[in-house]
Amino acid sequence: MTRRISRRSFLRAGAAAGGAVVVGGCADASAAPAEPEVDPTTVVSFLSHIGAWQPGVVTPAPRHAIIAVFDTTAASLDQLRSALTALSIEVDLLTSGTPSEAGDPLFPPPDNRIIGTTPDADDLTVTVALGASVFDDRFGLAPHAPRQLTLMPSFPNDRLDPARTHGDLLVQICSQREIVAHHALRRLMLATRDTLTLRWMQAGFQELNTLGPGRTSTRNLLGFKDGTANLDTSDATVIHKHVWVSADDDEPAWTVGGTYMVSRIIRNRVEFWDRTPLATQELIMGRRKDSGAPLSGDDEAQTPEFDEGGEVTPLSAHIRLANPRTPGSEANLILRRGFNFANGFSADGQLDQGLLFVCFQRSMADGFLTVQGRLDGEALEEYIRPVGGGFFFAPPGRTAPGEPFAAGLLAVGGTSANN
Amino acid sequence: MKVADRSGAFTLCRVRNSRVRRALPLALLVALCATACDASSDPPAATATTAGASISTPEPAADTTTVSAAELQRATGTYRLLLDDQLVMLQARTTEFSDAIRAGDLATAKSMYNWAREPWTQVELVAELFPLSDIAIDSRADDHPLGVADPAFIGFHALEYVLWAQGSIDGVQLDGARLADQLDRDVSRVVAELRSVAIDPEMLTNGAAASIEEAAQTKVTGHEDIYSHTDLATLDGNVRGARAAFDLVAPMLIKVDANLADDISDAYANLDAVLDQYRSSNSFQPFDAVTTADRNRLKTATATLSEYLARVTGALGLVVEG
Repeated sequence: MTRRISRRSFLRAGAAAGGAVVVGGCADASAAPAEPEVDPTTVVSFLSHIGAWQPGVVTPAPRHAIIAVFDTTAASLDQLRSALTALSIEVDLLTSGTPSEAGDPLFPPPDNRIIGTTPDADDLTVTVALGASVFDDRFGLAPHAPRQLTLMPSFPNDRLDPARTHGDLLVQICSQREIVAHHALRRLMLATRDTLTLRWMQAGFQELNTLGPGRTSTRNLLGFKDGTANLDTSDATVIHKHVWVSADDDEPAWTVGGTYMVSRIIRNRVEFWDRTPLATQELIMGRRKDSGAPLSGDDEAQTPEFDEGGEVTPLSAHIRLANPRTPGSEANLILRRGFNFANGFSADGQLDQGLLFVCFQRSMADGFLTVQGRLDGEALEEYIRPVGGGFFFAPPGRTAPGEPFAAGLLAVGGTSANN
Repeated sequence: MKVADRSGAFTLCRVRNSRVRRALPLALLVALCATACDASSDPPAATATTAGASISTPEPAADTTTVSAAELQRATGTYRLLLDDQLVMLQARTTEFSDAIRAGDLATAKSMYNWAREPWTQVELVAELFPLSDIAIDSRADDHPLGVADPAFIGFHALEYVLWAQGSIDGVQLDGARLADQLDRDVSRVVAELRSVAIDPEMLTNGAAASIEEAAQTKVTGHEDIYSHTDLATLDGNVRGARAAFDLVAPMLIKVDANLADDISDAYANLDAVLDQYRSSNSFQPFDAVTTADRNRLKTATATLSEYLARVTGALGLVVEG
């Protein structure tokens, strides 16, 4: 089902043989996982997009991401279905290594060819999620909306730019190579020209995590390790508990296997941060900058222990508010999958960099809303400014190629429309 | 001597609600125009700061290489006096400004806007310790989800909108007289708050740094006073305020890091040099008049000054190891 290619082997084979490296790469990779010195993040794959849930959620985050959020001009449920089907067909082509056709030279080429004729394995994932506005009166879907899906409110430290906030349909494209994500975006947009128009978009990047769980090598643009205490995506029990909507939840049946997705564009004032004393930075975050160790310990993997008075870890420290590790707060764990962004600079000459925050949770109330509520007023706020984003719901996975995204919703929506 | 405590580590953080403020005993400071004019005087002519003047005469001290608690106490004590002077001015000028609005005198109110705001620009960073007052007095329209139409858009900038954009005090959008009444109340409240705030040494160092940090964001781009285009007056107030705070610790800094003190003095002079080009008799040219080259100089000058000021607290040993 999945061809696994070691990036390192791929390069070696490529240097030696030049040409038919894919086969050689595959052969090499079959032995690679057994060798402890082989970095697992150098393995790239064609990732399956058929299953109980969508990829791009528990899939280890690759180097690049694009969040593209569209508004739809679809005027009926059928037109919406057509758009979600068109996306599905394109995603299957893009994630299976299917060569694009050359086409008739008298016509525009069917593919932009920015990555050549045949997509190679690149850990590409495309994840689709729906905004609250899809459940307004346009498509008759209101009765079937995920119970906790709302428009993202403006939190106290937010300065939301309407042009970068909300939207009908979010597409998250993740890949190891930046150009692969852009290729996919252009193909997806080509397939949906008649019904989807961009509302906002943000590209992100990160260094791969070569450690974990309980550790990370990935750092954010504040220079701190980010994701040390994130949920262990290899632990199915944990993920089912905190990420996927279950049949036990008070939610429409079609949402089971889906997840609430929050995406926020959070600018970091990096110049200001960089001229803040190290000790202050560490007190604000609650961890050591270099090692990632909690202030209460000396090793990154240690569980932070929070002193009551805040002498060691300040009461307003980021990690303390985000996850107080008190009885009951375990219910508020979320799966974070953010990327860094760098958009040039603003009029004051300061860099426009920050965090393209993404998180997934089974319940908005238990997850993001509780965590954000605790973070309101945190010491870090002086250095960060959320400027956009939205709340979305990523429907469960597709059960067959060509099946529209959110097929379950479209089915029940069609039923109620007929009634 | 215990000059280093945990609170020092957080002094760069402005806070927005009292919950956090309790959690982080923040300290910030302001800056003041030492040559403060009496409360009812006419809008003063701009007072060009003489770069380096007040840091050239270090106080005599027994120990010439470390900072003593007594020196720090003197600095904070002096600042307390400066702050109190500014608060008297803030209250009095605000009342005069509000009276002009209540009298429906648009032209007079416009001429008083910067003059009334000046004490505020100098106590702004201490005032930020009281976020509710700060937001009520000095938030911009773009700080609020509904912009100008937002009921929470009140204070100086709402009145700036009334005077310049709406062009009539009892216009259909914002009611100037009501906003003036509210401004009086909010200023009275913040004056009371600031009279009782304890001045920590870090307020002098980090206050100056935070003041310039803030200026480097909105006030070098014409984004602060978008209706009156009087950004340079606000910037100048912030700079002079920061400078006054710095001047109080400069004698101590010279002892421990004379080079840094020199660098800061030069950076202030650079900033003043740009501002001076746009000063007129008692105010500034509108921000639109600032050339691209000078906007760039404002950016580099504030950024450079920020870099230097960020080192002062550490140089004086006021920041604890976490």
